[in-house]
Amino acid sequence: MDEPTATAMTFAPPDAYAPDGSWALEVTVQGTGFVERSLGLMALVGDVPVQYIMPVLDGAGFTGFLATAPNEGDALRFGYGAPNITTTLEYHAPTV
Amino acid sequence: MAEARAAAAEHGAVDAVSVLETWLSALGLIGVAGTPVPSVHTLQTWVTIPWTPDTVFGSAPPFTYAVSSPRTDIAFVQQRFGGTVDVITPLTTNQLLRPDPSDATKFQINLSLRIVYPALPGSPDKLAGTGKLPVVLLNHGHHHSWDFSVDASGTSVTGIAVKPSYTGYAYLQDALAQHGIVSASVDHNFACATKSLIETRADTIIAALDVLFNEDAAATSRYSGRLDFTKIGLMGHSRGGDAVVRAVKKIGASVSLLFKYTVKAVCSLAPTDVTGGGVAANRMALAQDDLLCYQVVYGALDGDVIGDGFDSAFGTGFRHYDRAQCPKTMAFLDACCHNAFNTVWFADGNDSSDPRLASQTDHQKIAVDYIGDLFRWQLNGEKRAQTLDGRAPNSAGQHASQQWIFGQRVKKIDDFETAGTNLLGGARTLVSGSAPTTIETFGTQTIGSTPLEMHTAHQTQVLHCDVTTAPPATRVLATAIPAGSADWSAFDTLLVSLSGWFDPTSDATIAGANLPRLTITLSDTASASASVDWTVYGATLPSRPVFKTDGPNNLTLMRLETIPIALSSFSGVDLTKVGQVAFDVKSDNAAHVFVDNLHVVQRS
Repeated sequence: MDEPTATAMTFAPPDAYAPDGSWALEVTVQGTGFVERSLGLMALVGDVPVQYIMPVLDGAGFTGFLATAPNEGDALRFGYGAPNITTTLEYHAPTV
Repeated sequence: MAEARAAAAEHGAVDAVSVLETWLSALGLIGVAGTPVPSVHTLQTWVTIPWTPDTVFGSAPPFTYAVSSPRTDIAFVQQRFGGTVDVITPLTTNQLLRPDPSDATKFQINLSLRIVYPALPGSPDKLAGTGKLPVVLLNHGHHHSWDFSVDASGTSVTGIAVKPSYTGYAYLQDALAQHGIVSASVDHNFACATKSLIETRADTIIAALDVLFNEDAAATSRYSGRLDFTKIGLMGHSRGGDAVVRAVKKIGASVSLLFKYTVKAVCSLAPTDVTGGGVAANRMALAQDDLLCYQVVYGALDGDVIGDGFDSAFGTGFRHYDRAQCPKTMAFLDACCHNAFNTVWFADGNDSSDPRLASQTDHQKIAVDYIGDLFRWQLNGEKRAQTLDGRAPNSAGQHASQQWIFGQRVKKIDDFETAGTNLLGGARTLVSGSAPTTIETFGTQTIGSTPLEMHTAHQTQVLHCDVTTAPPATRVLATAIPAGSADWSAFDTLLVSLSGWFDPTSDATIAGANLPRLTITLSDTASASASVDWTVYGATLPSRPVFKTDGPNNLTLMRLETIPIALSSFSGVDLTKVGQVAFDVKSDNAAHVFVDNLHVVQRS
């Protein structure tokens, strides 16, 4: 199967409808080529796993929740069944 | 009826016609003019099914499977699906989801069931016969479901494309109806849309049972008094195959559900295994008494549940099979893939273009054979076990590597999971001075410079004998049978699961590898003994693995295959006083020998 492509990544505080857990951030990844298959999407930003992944409404990307903030410059990895697609999309902490 | 007679005779059923007529009569399906034909009824019911988010995550094994609290609030649906884009209105307009009429802060799902039952020609709205009929639920897995289209500004939903995955097993439903079984294929689109792994899917299965239960109880329903909830079968495909196991565990943990529903048999078709990649204590497993029979059917050319490591996050049906303690069977089909078992998924595009792939027709024949026979055997009491233990081939003529542990009687001797002793409490001795022999997790071993991690999907410990260098002695193992378990006279077959190492580099290296050669010796307490080797149980066994790649990854899987050996082959041994089972390897046959699951059965 062809691999999807991630083109942008943004972070925001988790909203009030997050699943159970203590969340530092909600991530939104935009891209193309996402498909519906048995093996679900898995993603990491650095070593921080993205949990409860949901596609965005039009299917061109996904959202999820991070329990801790990644390190500055940590990159996104994602993929179906395993996060084995590397990207150059990096986490940058918001400037105060 | 003629087709049924032919099929029964093909599978070696004794006195096929009288057996068939006996159970059809018992079901109240003959003695009535006409032969039953499948009749289709789509039932839609508004139900409450919570959205229970679940997830699997981690950077390396062991992975974590987590479940969040169930949510029934419509605001949760709105936020998680659409954020600021209204999704409730289009979902309601399309009759997929609506505010609960009794509490608008909550939501309901419009659950569709495609029900097929035996009816008489000319009376399609009436179930044939008069008796209660077994019930099978078919549960598709993850696929397109509610695909939202949004306008160019991204602020408004312009449409929802609905995928009818649940209509994709019509061929299997027809086959079940022809044998007096009512089947309901369940629309799992809500679970798919919410990206459920297994929890919401399991709740949907239970909700579907409840819908049918209410139909059976309703005096004006065509199903009134006709559904036998003491004879339930569940089939799940893909994530559905994972979810049916979860459903069995949920029903078993609920007194109220156990009072209503008895699930006798379950098939996981090409399933994921989202809990199996975690620590052992957190893996979902079927217990001895959970089912009368558990079945896994999986294709070696599956291009979706690809089998990317025995300890991967999503796993395969091998792990479900290995963990199950109830009677079980697994067919690993050399030429089967993932989508071809569902006509809707196949039409959307198959998951494999391998030239060795079986046709869609063959996939359907295989499903009817294995899954149909499972339910006909366990729910109807028909003699159909021959397909499930390899005595009868499938009607597609496609090769299956079979594992199984079931029978009228089963005595489990050793699964090599416990150090030092077998399952009967007898001492297990690895004989020194022979081939290097260990008991280890199959997937953690390395052969030469090749880790087995990506070359087996099993999650089990195995006896491993390295015979690549000729050993000074051939005896590798002796396992004692305690006196209280020495009487094997009620059993007829010894089972042992066998695998080897077949260099996965290419078809040629697989074909060129030596087969593992094992000699099994039974001894009685009077020291009489007899041995059986591959010249008796099969010189071409176990079958060789299927070469498979996924992109740059070689995913050729070594697989255990159950070798049945008639106990009568052990001539001269007093089967009322069995004292020991021993294994010998062939010293001049360079090979790796993997052994698991040593048991005796009285065949079904």
